[in-house]
Amino acid sequence: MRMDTLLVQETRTIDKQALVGVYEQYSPVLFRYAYRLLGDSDLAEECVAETFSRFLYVVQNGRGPDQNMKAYLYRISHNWITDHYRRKPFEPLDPDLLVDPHDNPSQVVAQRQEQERVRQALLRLPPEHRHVIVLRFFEDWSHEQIAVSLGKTVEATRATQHRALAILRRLLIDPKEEESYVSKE
Amino acid sequence: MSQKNDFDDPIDPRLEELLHKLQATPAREAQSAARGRTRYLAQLDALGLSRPKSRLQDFLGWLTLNNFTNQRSIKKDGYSMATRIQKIAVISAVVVMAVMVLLFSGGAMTAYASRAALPGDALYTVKTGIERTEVTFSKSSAVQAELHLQFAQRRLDEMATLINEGRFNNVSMTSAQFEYHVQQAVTLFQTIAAGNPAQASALASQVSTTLTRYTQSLNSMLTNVPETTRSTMTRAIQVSNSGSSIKMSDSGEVEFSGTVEEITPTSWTVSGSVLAITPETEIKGAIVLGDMVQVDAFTASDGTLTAREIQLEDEGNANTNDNQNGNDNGNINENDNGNENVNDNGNENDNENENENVNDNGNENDNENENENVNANGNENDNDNDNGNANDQHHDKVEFSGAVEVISSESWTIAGRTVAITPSTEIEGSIVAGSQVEVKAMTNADGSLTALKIKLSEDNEDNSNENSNGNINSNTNTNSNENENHNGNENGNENDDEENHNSNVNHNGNSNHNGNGNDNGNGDDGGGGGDD
Repeated sequence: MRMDTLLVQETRTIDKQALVGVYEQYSPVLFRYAYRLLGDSDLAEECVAETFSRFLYVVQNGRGPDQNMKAYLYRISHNWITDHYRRKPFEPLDPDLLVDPHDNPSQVVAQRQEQERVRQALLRLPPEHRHVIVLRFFEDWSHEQIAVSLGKTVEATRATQHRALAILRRLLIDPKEEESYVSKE
Repeated sequence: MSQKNDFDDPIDPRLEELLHKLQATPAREAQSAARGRTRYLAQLDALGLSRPKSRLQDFLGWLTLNNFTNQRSIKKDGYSMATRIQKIAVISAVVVMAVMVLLFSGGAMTAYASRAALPGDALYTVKTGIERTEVTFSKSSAVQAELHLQFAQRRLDEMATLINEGRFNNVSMTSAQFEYHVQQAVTLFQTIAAGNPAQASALASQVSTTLTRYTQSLNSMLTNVPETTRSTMTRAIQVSNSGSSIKMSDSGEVEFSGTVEEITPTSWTVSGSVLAITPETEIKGAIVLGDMVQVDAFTASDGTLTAREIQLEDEGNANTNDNQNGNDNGNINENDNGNENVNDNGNENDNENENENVNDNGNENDNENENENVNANGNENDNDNDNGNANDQHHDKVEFSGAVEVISSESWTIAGRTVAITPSTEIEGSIVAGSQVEVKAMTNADGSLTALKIKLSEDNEDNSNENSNGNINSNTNTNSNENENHNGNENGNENDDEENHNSNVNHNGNSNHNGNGNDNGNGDDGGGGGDD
């Protein structure tokens, strides 16, 4: 039996107790994932809530994860965040944020600005590129897990990561080159 | 955050440092988190999900969901074996912890609550699930056998309750489960017998005693269930009864009785126990499916049974005694147990002794002894010896001598005495009227004489014939009818009429061995027997 078939069956037959367990286990990590990309606690909570709401919807309709549960939930969150920025396109990077943080008077503000600058750089990546970078560098997933999550080969995942890092480097380290790499999405 | 692994592209340290700035996230606000959780639970409640799986199943399912990734990809990408082993170890540890938690927290509560559950109740599967777990975790076969006996007792208790509550729909299923546990106990016993005869011998009495009690319980319940349920219960009774007969012989063999359920050239099934049949197996009697048999078997090291002997069981417990003792002593068998003794053993002694002695003295000895010993009940031998001895000349022989006076075709007159001449009469020499002869004759019933032999006298100067009347009448009529009626019906009627002695009267001296032994445990001494 294929693993994904097994997982679908498990999810479809899962009971209330187990569904509570899903929430308890994954809502904290999804919150962190969402926060890193959204930069706002309320938005991150909303993302988590919507993620689980969608999850329950597919369970109710007899569908479920076609990969493992963890990847499935991250994927929902990722899509919600992507949709969120589609509905409300991110603001162009504030030129002030792209300057050297050491020029700012407050270290705290500088730190905040730096975080925002990195976040916005991430948001400018194509969704799949962003997904790979976040899972790989913040969630500490292996290439194998990411490949499963994306439904791609490990080699393709590595290639995506390579391109994403190149874009980020140009966006964050050499901002003058960023125009040619920014996602049109 | 650091370089992920050797296969990743080198990352610019400055970029890595920048990305690291997003690593830290603020603590999740408790109220917001609680609101999110409440919202989720409300949505969950709205789904109205059932609870199809046990908690343990769910948890194990989760382990699968959360710890395994696509195995194909793992293999393909050379995912390290060490990592996999580590994961398996973690899973194992978590499973053990989960089981412990379930057993000693919520699971224990559920288990406690399930103790009174009956078949058809929601918690009944928990109850039987715990039982299976207990058996699984028992190391010794003896303990497992004892557990199965305990669980069989539980099934009996459940059946009693179900019957009391009129929930007959679940009685059959429970009865089948009872049967399963008994079978398991017996099978385990047989396994033990193979490896540890001493232990098996000790266990045998426990199994036997317990199952005897169970059989009695089932029998008492049988009258209180609908007809549709009885067949299942009857079978359970048979299995239990079969198990109760189990014992170990001194030679370490297993003995039990049961119903023949299947017959193949290589194996028989007797009340659920499969017996290997070998060329050495003694099968006594014409046994067919459904017969009650006694089995003597030995257990192989792998626990399989090989039949040494299978024989029809005495029908002593069948309580149908066709024993009608017709006693010549006038005693009337009146059994308090109400058995109608009609002993129809069908012994028919049809002895025909035909003695056809041809005597050279002309006697026709045609003895026909027709002993028609129809032993209707073994106690009444009415042998009719009808010796049709046509030997009608038991008479004295007469010898005399004299001169022949008259010679005719039918009689001669010699010395004034007339003797009849028959084709058998031997006449030696040329005898004419006036010849001196010696006569051997026999006297008939009417006093007349019939000549057996007539010859010329030796002193007859003119006659050198020698009369040698050497007839030997050896009519030995040996009538040795020995009717041995071995009436082996052990009907077991214990007649408490002490005056009821079957004394067989043989009218003709035939030795009549009537082994009509009343030897049966069907006592009329109370409620214990089955004949009341």
